[in-house]
Amino acid sequence: MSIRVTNIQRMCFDDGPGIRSTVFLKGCSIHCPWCSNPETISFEKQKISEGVEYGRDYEPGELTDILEKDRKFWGRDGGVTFSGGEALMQGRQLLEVWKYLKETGVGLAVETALFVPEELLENALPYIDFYYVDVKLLDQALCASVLGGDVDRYLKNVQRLAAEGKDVHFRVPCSVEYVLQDQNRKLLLDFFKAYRQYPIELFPLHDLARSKYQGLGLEMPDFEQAGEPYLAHFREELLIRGCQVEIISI
Amino acid sequence: MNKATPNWEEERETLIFQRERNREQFHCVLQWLDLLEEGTNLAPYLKDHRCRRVAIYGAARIGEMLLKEIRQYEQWEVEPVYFLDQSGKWLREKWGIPVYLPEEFPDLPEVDMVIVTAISYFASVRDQLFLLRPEIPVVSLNTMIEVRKDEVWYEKR
Amino acid sequence: MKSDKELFLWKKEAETKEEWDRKCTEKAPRFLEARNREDFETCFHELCEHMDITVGTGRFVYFFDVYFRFGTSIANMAPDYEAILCQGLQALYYKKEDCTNTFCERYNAVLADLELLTDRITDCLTACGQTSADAADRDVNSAYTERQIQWFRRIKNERAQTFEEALQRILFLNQMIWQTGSWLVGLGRLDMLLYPYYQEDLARGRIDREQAGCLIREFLHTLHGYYWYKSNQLLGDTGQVMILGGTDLQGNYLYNDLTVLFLQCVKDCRLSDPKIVLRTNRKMPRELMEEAVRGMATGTGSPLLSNDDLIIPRLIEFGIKKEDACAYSTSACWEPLIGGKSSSMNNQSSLVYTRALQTMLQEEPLGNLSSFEAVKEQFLLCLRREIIKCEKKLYTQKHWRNTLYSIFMGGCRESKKDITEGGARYHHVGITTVGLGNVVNSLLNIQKYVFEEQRYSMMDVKKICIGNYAGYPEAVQLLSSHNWYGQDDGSAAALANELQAYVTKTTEDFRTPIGGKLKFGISGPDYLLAGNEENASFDGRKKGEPFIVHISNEDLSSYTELMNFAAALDYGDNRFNGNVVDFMVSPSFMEKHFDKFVTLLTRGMEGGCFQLQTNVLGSETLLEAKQSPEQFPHLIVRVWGFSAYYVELPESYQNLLLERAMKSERKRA
Repeated sequence: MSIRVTNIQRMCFDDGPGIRSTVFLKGCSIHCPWCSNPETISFEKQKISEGVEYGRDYEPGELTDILEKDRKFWGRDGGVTFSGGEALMQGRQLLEVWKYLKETGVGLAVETALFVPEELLENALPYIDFYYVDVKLLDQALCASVLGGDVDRYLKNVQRLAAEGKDVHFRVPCSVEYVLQDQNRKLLLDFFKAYRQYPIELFPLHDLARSKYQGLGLEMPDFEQAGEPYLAHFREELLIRGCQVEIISI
Repeated sequence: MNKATPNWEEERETLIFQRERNREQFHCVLQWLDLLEEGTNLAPYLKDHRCRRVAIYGAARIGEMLLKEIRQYEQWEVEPVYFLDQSGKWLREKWGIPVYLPEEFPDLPEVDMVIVTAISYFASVRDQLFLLRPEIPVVSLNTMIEVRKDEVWYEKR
Repeated sequence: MKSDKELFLWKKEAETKEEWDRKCTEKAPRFLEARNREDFETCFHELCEHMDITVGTGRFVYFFDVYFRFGTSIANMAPDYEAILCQGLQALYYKKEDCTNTFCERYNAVLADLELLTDRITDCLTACGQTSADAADRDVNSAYTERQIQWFRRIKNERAQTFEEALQRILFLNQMIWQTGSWLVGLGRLDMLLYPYYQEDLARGRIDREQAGCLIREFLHTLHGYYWYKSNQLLGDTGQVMILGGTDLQGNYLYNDLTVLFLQCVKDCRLSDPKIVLRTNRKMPRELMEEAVRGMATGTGSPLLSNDDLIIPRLIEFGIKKEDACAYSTSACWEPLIGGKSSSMNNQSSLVYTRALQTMLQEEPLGNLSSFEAVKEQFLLCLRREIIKCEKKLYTQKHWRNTLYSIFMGGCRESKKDITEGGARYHHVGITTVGLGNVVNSLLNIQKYVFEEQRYSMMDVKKICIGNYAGYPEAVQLLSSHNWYGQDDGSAAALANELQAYVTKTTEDFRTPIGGKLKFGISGPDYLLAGNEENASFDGRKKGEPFIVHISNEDLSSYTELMNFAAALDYGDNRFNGNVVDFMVSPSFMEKHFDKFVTLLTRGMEGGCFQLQTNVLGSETLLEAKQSPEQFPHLIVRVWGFSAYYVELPESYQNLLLERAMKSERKRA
């Protein structure tokens, strides 16, 4: 079963603890308007121009051969991160890779929005130790209309991770129009209070992906940048609720 | 050279150039003689480059010496096919092989290499011949001699 | 008042040399005539008797008389500083019964002149102490002056008594080696050398750690003086390198408090030189690597990391005794050297790989280049010619004898031979190489585009390289799009190893007239100057453009790949004369990921990098510095194996660094 990948980024310092290699999978279960990797949303291969195509299929063995090159740099604290797109969606195809890496002592992480069916999460649990979980829209109607996601499913998945005692870090893309809009913000504050044992990273959005959108024949929507005071205020609100919060840039 | 003449500076430049050219040629021939004294010659160079047919640029004295040397060693199996020289304007044969003008080069028979004996003009000759027929290598006699000398030094060191 | 840059350029002019010779003749009429006869001892005598002695207000005595110009001497090594620390000069003389040849006589004569000079210095210091007009100055100076007088008295017949005195003796020997025509004078293993004196001072309560730090900083500033005078090819290229850390005979990591202190002081001083080579091994403590990365983060390009786990075994295989191999230091940039015992001049010639490619295309009938294997074969034949030229140059090189260096070079005293006649314990010779990366890329491009895809013919290759891409505008982008050299898929490393193995095969039998073997490495200082003179190569590089710098590749998005590539190269046999991984890092990246960067370097070195240096700079800063140099007088960058002030570099070097930084940042984004 081949695995469809958009990019394999070696020497990542921002995708988990230690030094990591990150595999960006193609295909996502939702479609955030602020997505900075639009080429990963569709599962289909997308040709941009002569010699430039998003999406390449790897056999599990092929993928592990490439990843193996950096094993000496991972050590015990580093390893491999699966991102995308939605990494868990190709969970079945990735099983062999995860199994091999886990058995050979590699720390595995995943960056996920968690809008996936239960069985896909169950798939990953025995292998993935570290989860970067996006927290975006928790209002059911808003989430469905803007992202195309099911909040109930999402919340159950978060609960499952907590029950398994997994290492979880929350990541919040700070979109002013949607994520930090009043109603959703209140839901976020309650959510984070309930899960205050997990650290939170807030990051402002950027439009560096504009050229990618153009290449795909899409238009990147304009959005308001959440300025520093805005983020600082939100951070304060979270701190009051006993959360650990950091503002980062990705 | 009379400094009173209007182009004495030009004359002086020409004399200096000629002196340098003569010095280079003298040095080249001395080096060539060194090789012969060592009991070797230019054959290994041509063998390494698998040259069977060569053209010689420059049909003056040094060109003649090269032609005779190549012919002398039949076991080299190298055939000098023609000269390229400005004297091709009026002299169409010398020492049994044709003499052509450099401009005629594109239409001439195939050779493996052109050996330039007019060593002081090598750079411009090389560039000129490259434009006319880029696929044929152009080598200075001086280079061949230096390479052989270095090889001899290497074998003995 | 001329700037360092102006002085450096002025020093190189012929008129300046004539002027200096005139002034020298006024002071020492016999000097020039002795120089013409290559009579080192008479020159040295004249120097010691007549050179101007400059005593400043600083703690240390360190001066040059630039008018005394010696002939071309043996260079690019470090003297045996230990010899002047652990005893007085008088202990070095040959006894009458041991004085059995001319060398011994000369040796004793030079020592006597050195003593004469120390007497003159003492007299001068005494005079200065008495005549200083300003009473306040006198109080400040008299503390130093009294100590300095004692030092220059004791240097004749006692060992150095204190850490401070030991530093002074190193400076004195260093100064005299420079003064007598040598250059790129190294500093040796300062932490190991000075530790006993440091420890003793601490034990006796003479100094504490902080005071030692002050002394070291002043020592570094003193060495940095006269840097225009000491600079060789470019301003900053002084070769003043100290080696810190190491490995003991059991394989354990060796370091002490001075290792850390020197790292910290060099970092704090932020000078372009002296610089540090920090030896590493698998057992090196993380704290030391952190200290090293803090040093790198200042942008001074120091320290360069040198991997003992790879280097020591290679030295031993080459014929160096184990205890000497474990004590290795380096030449001016990075070439391993047995400091104080080896007269190996490690950069005596440069092998330009691309020249062989050029020769092949110029001289080879195309019919002989009908397959990739045939191309490689003919390329190697042309490379052989270049190698022979290098060897010939090494074999016929002549240097003045240098009795002073011979006194302070392990082996010469015992063998009673001058350093230039093979007196030192080791006297091998080294060459550097450039253009390997461009050749690997060109050959792999030939394999792909000529023989696999048949997109070009060898005729096209010839026209592209000789004609500088005229008529093939699309080829520049196409051929530079791969940049195989540095990628770790195996093909580039395998080819590089093959080419290097050929160089080994051609050079392993070489011996200099004094019996030295030849060694070489991938790193070379003339990537820019040699590149200026070479035609285009078949990798997108146009005529006159610089070659790839050491082991580097700014098109890669991860340093891990480059380090893997470096680990796949074979450094065995005689291929250990410096092989430096070189990468650009932006300051913000370093700051943001400090801990992970330390881990990266640690694991990279453990994984098999031979040596490694970083250039921590941002393209934005470089651009600003180019536009307003007066605002960035102290911006330091790393150039081949030394650091220099960016604004003092020739424009071609500035542009190359800027281009590399921009490329690297694009990839990192």
